[in-house]
Amino acid sequence: MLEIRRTYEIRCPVFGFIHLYDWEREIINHKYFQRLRRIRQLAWCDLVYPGAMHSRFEHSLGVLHMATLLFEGIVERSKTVLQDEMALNSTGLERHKIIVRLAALLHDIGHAPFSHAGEELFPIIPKKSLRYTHENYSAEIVRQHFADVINNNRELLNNYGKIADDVVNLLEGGPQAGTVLFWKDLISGQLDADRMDYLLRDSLHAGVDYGRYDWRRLVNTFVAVPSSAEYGNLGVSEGGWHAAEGLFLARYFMFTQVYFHKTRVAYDHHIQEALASLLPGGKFPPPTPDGIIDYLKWDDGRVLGLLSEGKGGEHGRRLLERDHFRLIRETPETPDEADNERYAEWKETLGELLAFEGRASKSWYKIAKSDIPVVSETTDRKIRPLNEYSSIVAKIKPIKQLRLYVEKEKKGEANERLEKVKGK
Amino acid sequence: MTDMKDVYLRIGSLLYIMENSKSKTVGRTAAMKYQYLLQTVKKVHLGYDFRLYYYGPFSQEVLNDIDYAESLGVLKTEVVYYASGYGYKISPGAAAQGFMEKASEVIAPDKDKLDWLVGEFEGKSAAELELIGTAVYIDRNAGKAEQIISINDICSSIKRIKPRFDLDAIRKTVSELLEKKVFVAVRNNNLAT
Repeated sequence: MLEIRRTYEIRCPVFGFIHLYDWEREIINHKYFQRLRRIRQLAWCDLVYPGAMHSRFEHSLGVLHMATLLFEGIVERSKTVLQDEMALNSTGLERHKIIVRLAALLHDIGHAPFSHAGEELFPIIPKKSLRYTHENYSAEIVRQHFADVINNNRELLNNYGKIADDVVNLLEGGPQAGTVLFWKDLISGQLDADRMDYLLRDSLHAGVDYGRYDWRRLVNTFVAVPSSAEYGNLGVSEGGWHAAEGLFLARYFMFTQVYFHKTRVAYDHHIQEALASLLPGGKFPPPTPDGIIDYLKWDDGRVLGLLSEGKGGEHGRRLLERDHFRLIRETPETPDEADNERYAEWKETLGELLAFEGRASKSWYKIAKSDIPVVSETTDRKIRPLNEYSSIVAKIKPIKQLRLYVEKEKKGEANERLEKVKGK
Repeated sequence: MTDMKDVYLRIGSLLYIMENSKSKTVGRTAAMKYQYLLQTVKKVHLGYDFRLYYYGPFSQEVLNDIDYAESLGVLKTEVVYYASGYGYKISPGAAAQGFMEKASEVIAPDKDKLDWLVGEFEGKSAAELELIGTAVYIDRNAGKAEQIISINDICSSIKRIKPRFDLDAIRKTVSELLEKKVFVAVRNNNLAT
């Protein structure tokens, strides 16, 4: 097997140095990858945490790095499982590693301006009641604009054949990916490289410590487990369960303190409304060959330019002047039926004063059920869920919080109305 | 749809399936694949975004809903250990009856689809459901591209994703699904290669 020798280095505030292969550097230099420098990772979160100005560009490099660390660790520690599952030798695994790195690097290539805030403005998939996601856009952009870059690279082609379709299928979950699908959990799962990077990175740039967890320990204990539809195919060895617990807690704290911060949620709403007024037809173009070209013309810079020209309506003004809607009432983090009924009553009482609702379940960062398999270090190698080790993780409930917002000037009147509601 | 109406449809469907099954419980894999089949084959508007993983079609939202239902006492989950790992047994919780009184109206229009699911797939093992879900996903993927694929094609595709599965077992599953008229793109042809 040929050893790839040409690598480049790029600095990263989280990991120090990230190493790139020749073809990855070519991809990064592509204009549509450079576009990610103009997409903020956390949208308007800087209006709460001023340092949170980092971009999808640096995050994408971070995910590439983290995915590589996890992949290499799994290969080192889980040879038997990989052999049993996929019957791959070292050449086959090397090919998989190249594909996983590319998928990690390109996983966010299809993001809209201001990241997840714009996703409500993706069109509905024809004949389905679901909206396109940024993953759909990413897959289509790779198919149309990066496939040639990948497939025509001589070193890749001569050593691994044409792999662009495998990258797309890994991103999309396409059946043609074959055994490469084994690594999908590494790109988008409970213990994925994406989450492991953004928690650290967002925490660093926001200036908080909530997202910090022992990632080095987690990387060193990451393993493949015999695949089960009950819990997937990636887990941690027993020595790493506390680190996995730390990751889960980091998610919880970052969600409640940063991603679902009451003011950040208000600005997500304002940018959505402003974008809807800026976009032709109020929606982004679909991920078709022509639609993608138009779609890729949109980035944060273009939107900010239009807002500064006075476009974007009332919501555009609110964004520029930091005049957001105010939280007036919210349910507990995990509302029961009585809480939901009270919420409905508040909503009805507010009537025309209600500006919008914030829902934790709609947030891309919402807290999900954790099921991380932990492999015992005794000879029986028994597999148990993280919940059985960690009483903290077992007790954390899903966050389904609901919030009601009104205009700042209407807060007094809104409170007067709501005071009359039983249970307030 | 309000959030609670979604929850009534999604969790109400699972409770109905449990009520009408012999074991009165479902495993986590079964819950996932049942929701997939209801949405994909029978067009019940559950609103999940399923993607194909190594272990079949998966949506994290299904697990989130089960978790939420547990926090409301509508479902309860216990871990069951096997030689090779573990699974989950999901059963109605203390608040299930009260929940179903509100949910039954929401699931009523889809009752015949739920009955179909129970009749056709109840009692299947997690491994069988994993195969079934994967086969349907591949079929629908081909259908989306307006392709017609043969039984051999779909068996080969499944085998490529899951080399550890026995090809005869794959063929048996695919043949059964063909008989149940579940596929849109797969056509019968000579099974012999």
